[in-house]
Amino acid sequence: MRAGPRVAAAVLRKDLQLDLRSKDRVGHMAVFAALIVVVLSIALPSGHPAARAWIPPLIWVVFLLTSLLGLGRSFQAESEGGAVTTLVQAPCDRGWVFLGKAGANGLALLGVELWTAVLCAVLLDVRWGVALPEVLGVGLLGAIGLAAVGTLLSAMATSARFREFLLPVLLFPLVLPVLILGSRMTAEALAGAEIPGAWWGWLGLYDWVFLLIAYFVFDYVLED
Amino acid sequence: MNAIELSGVEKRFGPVRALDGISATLPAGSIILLSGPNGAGKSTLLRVLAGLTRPTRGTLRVLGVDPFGHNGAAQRGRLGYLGQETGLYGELTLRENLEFCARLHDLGSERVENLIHELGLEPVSGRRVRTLSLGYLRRAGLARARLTDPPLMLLDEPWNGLDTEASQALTDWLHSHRGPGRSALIAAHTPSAASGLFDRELRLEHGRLLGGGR
Amino acid sequence: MEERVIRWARPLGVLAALGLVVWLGMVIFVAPMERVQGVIQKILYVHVPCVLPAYLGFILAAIGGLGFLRTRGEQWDRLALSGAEVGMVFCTLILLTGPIWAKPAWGHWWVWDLRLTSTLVLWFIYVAYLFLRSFVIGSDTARTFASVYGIAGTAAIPFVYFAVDLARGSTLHPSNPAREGLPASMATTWIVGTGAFLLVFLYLVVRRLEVARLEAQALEAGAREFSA
Repeated sequence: MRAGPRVAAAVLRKDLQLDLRSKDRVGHMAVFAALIVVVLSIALPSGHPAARAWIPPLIWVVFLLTSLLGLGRSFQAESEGGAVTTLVQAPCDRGWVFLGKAGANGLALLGVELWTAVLCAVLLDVRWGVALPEVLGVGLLGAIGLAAVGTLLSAMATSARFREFLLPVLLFPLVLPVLILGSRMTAEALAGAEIPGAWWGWLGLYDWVFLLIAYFVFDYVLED
Repeated sequence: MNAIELSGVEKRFGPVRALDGISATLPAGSIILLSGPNGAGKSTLLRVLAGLTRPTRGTLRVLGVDPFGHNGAAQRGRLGYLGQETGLYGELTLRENLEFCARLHDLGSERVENLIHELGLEPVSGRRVRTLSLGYLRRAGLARARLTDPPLMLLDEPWNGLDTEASQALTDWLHSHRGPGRSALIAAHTPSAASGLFDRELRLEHGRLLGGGR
Repeated sequence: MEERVIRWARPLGVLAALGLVVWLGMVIFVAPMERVQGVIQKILYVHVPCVLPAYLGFILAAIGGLGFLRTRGEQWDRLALSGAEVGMVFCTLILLTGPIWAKPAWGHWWVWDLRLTSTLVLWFIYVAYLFLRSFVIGSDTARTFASVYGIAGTAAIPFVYFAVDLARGSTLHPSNPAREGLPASMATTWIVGTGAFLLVFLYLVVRRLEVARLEAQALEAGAREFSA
């Protein structure tokens, strides 16, 4: 296997190993998501038909806030042991290191999405049913976009002051399109309507653009 | 070929000049001591050479290649860097850490096992790195640095934290490492720990190189 | 190269001052007094011309960022910083003048329409950019990270625009004056205003560049003394 993909695969595998072993990140995100959904389901006026329209955007906000928790810790293991030096010395374009990391984050985010979907079905009475394939597609593209931007920004925020403040401030304006597209497409799917092709196109384009940008600049970002 | 070529290398952190115009040529096949007081810039110089941080100014070539140039990537496996930190993941076991590095550089697990054996790390190979004592930790870091059998070692205070036995083992290994095309640049405070090892000394003070040689 | 640009400061300043005089004259004498909204409507002649400079600030931040990443030349980073800071000023002006007009005209302080909302997000990206610069430890690192965010932020703009459009649907915001049959003198004043504000923008950017350059030179001299 060529150096790049091999490195990305190794980084992905290592991150998954760490996530599954310590379960901190994943566990905390799961509890956090449950907490917000519970709070929402208590606070939202029930039986109100207009209130139902708010649910798709709220689901995505829950997802975004939960992701923030996980993304913030993307590079925690690296900074604790000085393991960044090991990554920096990978014998390839560091963009591949980014892809490995973003891949691991993307998988974690997908897990959060699925968990959130389950919570919403149970607590907010969301009927995923026939909309499921499309919603999964939207969820996948959304997770990729969020993982791409989130991993890049997390790498930068990790070595800054006021990290917990900085990351959301950096992240939210850039991922607003994912939030809006994601919630609109989810809403359409739940309503049984067809999602316009242009929307899929924009979301897919977003993922591409930011994966590319992050891939090319990661060399500079990792070099301390 | 020269192991290291530096020309006017400067590294600034804000107003502070950690490295202030360093120029030197170090031929291959020698073991060089990098000495100097605390804060002289030794660690910074090693980090720049390892390609971990970009110099503010100046050019450098390590093993004939600019680590920050287009071809820098391929040559990274030919460097063995051990810094103040070990570069390992606390939650993974020692073996898992080494296997991760091996995968990065396309090496098999046989190499990992050999190194574990050679450095006497069997007793702790299955333990999570964050539970290791300082001595084992430093030895583990050394194992990681040596994994690709690099022709150039860049070591930052490698004898720190090692007990007498491990210290001697390191010195012995460095002696055996010496050979055509194989070099080492070692930053150390107490060269007496390994007298007779070094072919040459480079002394840094306030980020500048003083004349040196033996 | 940077020095040559900085030498344009004075002529730009003169041109900008002239431009402002012409613009002000047009606002007071040429542009019509709106029957219903009265003189408050004239704040639009500040609001609209700010748009181009606000977006231009972003583009400079991205160009400067790209330049710095590729060449490591600090003058690129200074360009990015100057563009971002001055652009943010104009962006803030848009957000302040909008509501001043909107309240008497539409009855609300704020309206969530496409233009205003996108500008608000843009403003937040500027804020994030400036926070990033000040919170990152290590000046070289700060420049690198700022370059990255400048590029990413600018790349996000078209997506933000599309997304906000999607979310808000209809827009209350009046779009093109010619299309809506507004008098030509309004359009002319807006165009003159944009030209004048563009000159002011360039002047401020060049001056800011000059200050940044002087700061860097002072740091250089200080560092020399520090390590000597």
